[in-house]
Amino acid sequence: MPWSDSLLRKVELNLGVQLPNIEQAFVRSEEAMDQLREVVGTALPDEVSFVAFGSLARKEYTSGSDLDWALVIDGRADSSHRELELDLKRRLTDCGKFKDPNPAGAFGALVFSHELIHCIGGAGDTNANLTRRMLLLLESTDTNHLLPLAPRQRVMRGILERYFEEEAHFPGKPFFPRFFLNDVVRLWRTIAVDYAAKNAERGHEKWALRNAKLRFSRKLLFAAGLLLAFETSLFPDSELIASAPSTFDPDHPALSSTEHCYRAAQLTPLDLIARASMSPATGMDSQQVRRLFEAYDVFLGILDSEGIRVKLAKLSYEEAIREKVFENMREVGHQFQDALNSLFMNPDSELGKLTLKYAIF
Amino acid sequence: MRDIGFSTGALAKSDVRKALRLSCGLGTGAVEYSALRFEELSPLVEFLLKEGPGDYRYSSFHAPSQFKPEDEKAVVELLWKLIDRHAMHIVVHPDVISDHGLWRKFGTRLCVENMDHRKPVGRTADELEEVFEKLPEARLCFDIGHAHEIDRSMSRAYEILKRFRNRIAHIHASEVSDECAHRAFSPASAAAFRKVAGMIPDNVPVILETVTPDEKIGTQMEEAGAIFGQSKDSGHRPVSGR
Repeated sequence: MPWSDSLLRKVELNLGVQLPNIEQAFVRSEEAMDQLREVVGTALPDEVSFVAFGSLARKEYTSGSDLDWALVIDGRADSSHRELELDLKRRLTDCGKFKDPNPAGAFGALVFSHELIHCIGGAGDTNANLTRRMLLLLESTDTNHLLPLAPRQRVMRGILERYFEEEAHFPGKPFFPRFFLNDVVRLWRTIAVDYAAKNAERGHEKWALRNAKLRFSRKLLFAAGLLLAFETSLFPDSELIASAPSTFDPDHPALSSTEHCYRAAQLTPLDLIARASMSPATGMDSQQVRRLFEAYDVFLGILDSEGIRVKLAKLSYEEAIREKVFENMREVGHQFQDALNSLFMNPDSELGKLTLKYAIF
Repeated sequence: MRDIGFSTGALAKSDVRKALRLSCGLGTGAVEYSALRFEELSPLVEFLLKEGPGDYRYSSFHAPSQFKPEDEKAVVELLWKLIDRHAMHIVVHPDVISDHGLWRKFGTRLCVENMDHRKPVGRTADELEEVFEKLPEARLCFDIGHAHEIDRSMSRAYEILKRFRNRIAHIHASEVSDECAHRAFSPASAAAFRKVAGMIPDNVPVILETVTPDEKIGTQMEEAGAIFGQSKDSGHRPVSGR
């Protein structure tokens, strides 16, 4: 999609702002996806999707981004899947265009639909499984995303259906997906706790960069998750497919919510914020929306600057407070946080009412 | 309450007389004559022109699932005879249609079936929309097993029903495996089908495509009745001449 057709360009026009870093990351993401499609090719087995997560899926790909990916498999176990994984790893390394994902992380591996769909909560739900499941919903794309029946799409529907199907709901009473919302909140708190754990494990190494990501992109992910959980409440008649609008169906809340939220989940986190900000139903204050996007634009500028990235990567906790680059990032982080607070916690707006009613206690 | 019957192809592949004998014993109110293979078409049409479709409240005919474009006109002409003589519903897979103009004359007697994942068209609500734009009067043969095969969550089935339930002529029911084999209901597929069964209008018949051993046919009928609701009065009188 060209930048000129994007929701974010509409935000620029609506608010009268320039978001050059967001635009550059968007364009870079489109180019990187084209390159990735070339490397991965189209000849994947029917049951396999090559799924990209992280900044590439969010369309926030910068010069410093690595590529978080997984082969999502929805079908029979097959020993050749391992060969496929190794072959793709080799191809991605050989092409020299993508940085490897963190070897200790949840990506760069085979991921199976059964764990994603069936292990929600309980002892079988590991940290990695939670991360993969939620990021599949909140920030993922696949190299065959135009195919209507790609495994990634089936798995996303399967996960959403489980959240909504198992929602405790009394007929005739308002339907709200607390199960899903609780997992969104759980992801955000897990990320924050893991941030502390990584600091303890790794010390100063890249601490300030992790701090910047926690303040911005991780927090944005949480905001997008809240919007997805509020989707059927904020947009009972969704416009996402003009020819066949999704309408929340109180007679079939689980099925209609699955379809409804699946469509919204095709948007990036920034798109979800942009869409919500342009809808009168949410009651979002345009000045706060402007502050939010401007702050995020600064963040992407920081990540795209090799000089600043290198500086932040070397910074110790003790040095940080005296370092101007870090201090600037921190201040803009506060601006981003304040804007999010104003948008999500305003008791007079529909968005604020939902947050206060469901997202805290 | 709805009529439930069998596809002759599911009861006895390529042996319509045996299938009708089995169907007759069940006292069903609906039947689908199946000529899924091209070479079955002409003999089965001749059989029906001679014997009639039987005294079922609902009868349909499944056109071949594969034939060459150059045979399309001849296929349509043969099927037209059935509509002309017996006012049967004709089920067709959308991927075999090359010239939509040929099929348009069938009007509301034509039933387009939603497809499994292997076919390039007619699988989702959006893809069906494209077909119905070319065949505006056609009805839908809703294959709930196909809808389940492409999306086990049933949200795509829900979307198809929401948009096209008023077009549905009848249901095809069976569990469809990942390899697209039609088989008997399992607890998983039965539970999935129940989620959307209430959206299917009460008067829409169900045709079972479950390939089932003879001794389990009655059980399949009962299970289908439990999932979809069954007519108490089948009103069936057997086809003469068997």
